[in-house]
Amino acid sequence: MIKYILERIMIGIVTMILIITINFFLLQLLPGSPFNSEKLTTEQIEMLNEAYGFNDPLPVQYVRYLSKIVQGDFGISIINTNIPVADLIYGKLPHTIKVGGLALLIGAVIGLFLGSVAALNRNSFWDYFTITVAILGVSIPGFVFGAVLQLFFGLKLDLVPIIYKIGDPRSFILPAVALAYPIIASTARYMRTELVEIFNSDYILLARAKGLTRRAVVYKHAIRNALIPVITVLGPATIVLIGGSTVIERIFGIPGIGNLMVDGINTRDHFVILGCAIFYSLLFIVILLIIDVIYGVIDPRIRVSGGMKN
Amino acid sequence: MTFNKKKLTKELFEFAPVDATLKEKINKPSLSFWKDAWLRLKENKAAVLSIWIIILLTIIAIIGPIISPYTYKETIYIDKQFTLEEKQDLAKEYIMVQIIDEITDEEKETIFKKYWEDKGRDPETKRKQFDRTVEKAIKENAHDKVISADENELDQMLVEYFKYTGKEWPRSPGNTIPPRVPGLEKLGLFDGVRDGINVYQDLGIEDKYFWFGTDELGRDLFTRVWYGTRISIFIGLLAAVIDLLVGVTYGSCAGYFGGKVDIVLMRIIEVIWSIPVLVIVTILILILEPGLMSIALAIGLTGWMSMARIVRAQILKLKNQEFVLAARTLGTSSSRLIMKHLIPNVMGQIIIVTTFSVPNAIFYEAFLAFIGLGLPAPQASLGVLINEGYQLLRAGYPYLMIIPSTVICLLMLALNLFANGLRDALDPKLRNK
Repeated sequence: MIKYILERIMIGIVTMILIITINFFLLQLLPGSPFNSEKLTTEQIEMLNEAYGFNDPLPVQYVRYLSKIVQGDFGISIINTNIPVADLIYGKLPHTIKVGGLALLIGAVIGLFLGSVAALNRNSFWDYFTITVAILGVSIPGFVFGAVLQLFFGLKLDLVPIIYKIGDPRSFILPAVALAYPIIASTARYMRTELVEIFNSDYILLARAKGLTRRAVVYKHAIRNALIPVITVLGPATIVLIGGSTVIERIFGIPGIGNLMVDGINTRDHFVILGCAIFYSLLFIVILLIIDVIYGVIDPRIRVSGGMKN
Repeated sequence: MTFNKKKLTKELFEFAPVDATLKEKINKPSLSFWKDAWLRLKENKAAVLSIWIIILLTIIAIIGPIISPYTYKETIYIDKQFTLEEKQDLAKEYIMVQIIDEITDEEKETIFKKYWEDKGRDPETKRKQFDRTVEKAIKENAHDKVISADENELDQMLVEYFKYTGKEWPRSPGNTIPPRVPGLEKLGLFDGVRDGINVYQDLGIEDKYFWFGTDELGRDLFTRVWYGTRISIFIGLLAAVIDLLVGVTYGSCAGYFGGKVDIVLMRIIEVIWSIPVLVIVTILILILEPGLMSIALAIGLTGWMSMARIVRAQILKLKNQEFVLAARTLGTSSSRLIMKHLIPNVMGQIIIVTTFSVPNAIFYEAFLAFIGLGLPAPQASLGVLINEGYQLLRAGYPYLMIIPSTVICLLMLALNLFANGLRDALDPKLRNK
């Protein structure tokens, strides 16, 4: 077991280094410089380049960057008055985590519930409802959904604030729902498929044959076993959260990492873009690692065959 | 029910001819894989409806901008509407200009004399003020005429004024005109009314119909929406093709050659897989500069992994089968074996994944446009339009966002349902998944 976990961690670290390398060199190809203000003279730009070490040979810059990252230093934001990128990210992290975590919770709970109800009552209203939700989940872009929520619940009905405000829990509701909705869709769909398959399996037939009540069959045998593979939904859900956070944070004015990255893109703030990209990748790799480990613990077959791949 | 026994005579019963060849005859026409899939697809009502919606949207997207009298980037100018006072002023000016231009010296003399005689003075004492007096007299005369004129006459004079002086009729961009559709407007929908005011009446363009209204720069939204749909569909298809080419090539190489090649190729995929798509797409587009091709390329280059994996898995399964062995024994080259023997057997799966990647690409394009990585202005895609509309959502112009959003949702829904239907039809094992 320990060997399996260590192996997974090693793969994670190697992947991370590769990602940093790829990102670093891709960013070098970016057109536009952070110092493109018209007020700067050529000499001043030259001095700034010198000060930030942009004139050094690429390998030198790369090694310096890599060694800094290991020390938890992501470089300095060029636009945001020289604040370290790490500080920027840590400052924005709580907002992203608050809304994202809430969304994940809402998404998982409602999704699992809908999926189970649909699978237990096939071809009923709830089944069709869940299928519709699942299809709409992949068909309506998140920002359209967010904007519709804003327009309807915020502006028309005036129930909840439409702009995120620190310290006002009511203002979390709309962004969390907007972020949760694709997660609800994918979780519900997955849970339904999983349960339907389990209901057709032999051990459920056996459980019924030996005279267990429907309740016992459903709760003890079916749902418990269906929950195991559903853990893997966490991976795609993280991608959804990462992608969704940028647009949803923009719509609702949340000062989170997604907003930071979009601002970085628009101002060509290389280190901020790179820092956010690395942060996102790290988050994703850690979650994939956790999923792999949990899965390995729960299902010994995976350990033997060498890891679950999505 | 009564049963007439008399009608059942013995002659009615005959032995069936015993014919060995007939036993082997298959009554049902033989179905190819594709025909079978088509039959299954036709039974899926949602999928059939989706196909019609996709066809309809594509046709409108192609002919919409063509039949529209405007282009997607042209600002529509509206003739200025004058208030009554402005009209009167202009009419006065018209009359004066006209008279002053045409008047002869004798006529001036008469006007001058008449003016002072009416006032009871001797015109000769006022000879010094000749020009001023004539002007004043004409002005007063014009004023009287204008005051007594009704609105229609004024409008007539206005038209003549601009014709006469050769001046351009003042025009302004017809921006944020709400949607108005003939027929529907009578039902109170799309009637061009905003905040209780009929904007079309207000602007004096009651003869015009902007079906989807105009945007903040006065561009016709109907043209832009369908032009944008065209671009979005094009990006979706292009990305799907890139997806297809890269994914199938990569996946079939990994699957066919196996061993070390497979391990290395799959590790690379694993690494790329662990980079969030947002990060790769963002950086790629920043490097390539936003544009039609670069956006499609960036989306295509990030979406091929699942295609590669599926193709690889299928080929791994197929390559040990007898038909591959037979082909190899006959001396078929690797590339021919992959192209002619293996890929046709994976075609079903490839088509399914490709169909799903079209809506995905459209989705991603819209997403990118929303975070500021969309097509440069004045080009439009559905994502760009939604983004532009969103900026004005709270300013009181919700139709600017709602119309393109509706189109993209409809398109995505239809494409997804169609892809679902296709998957069920091509791969019945996967049904209900």
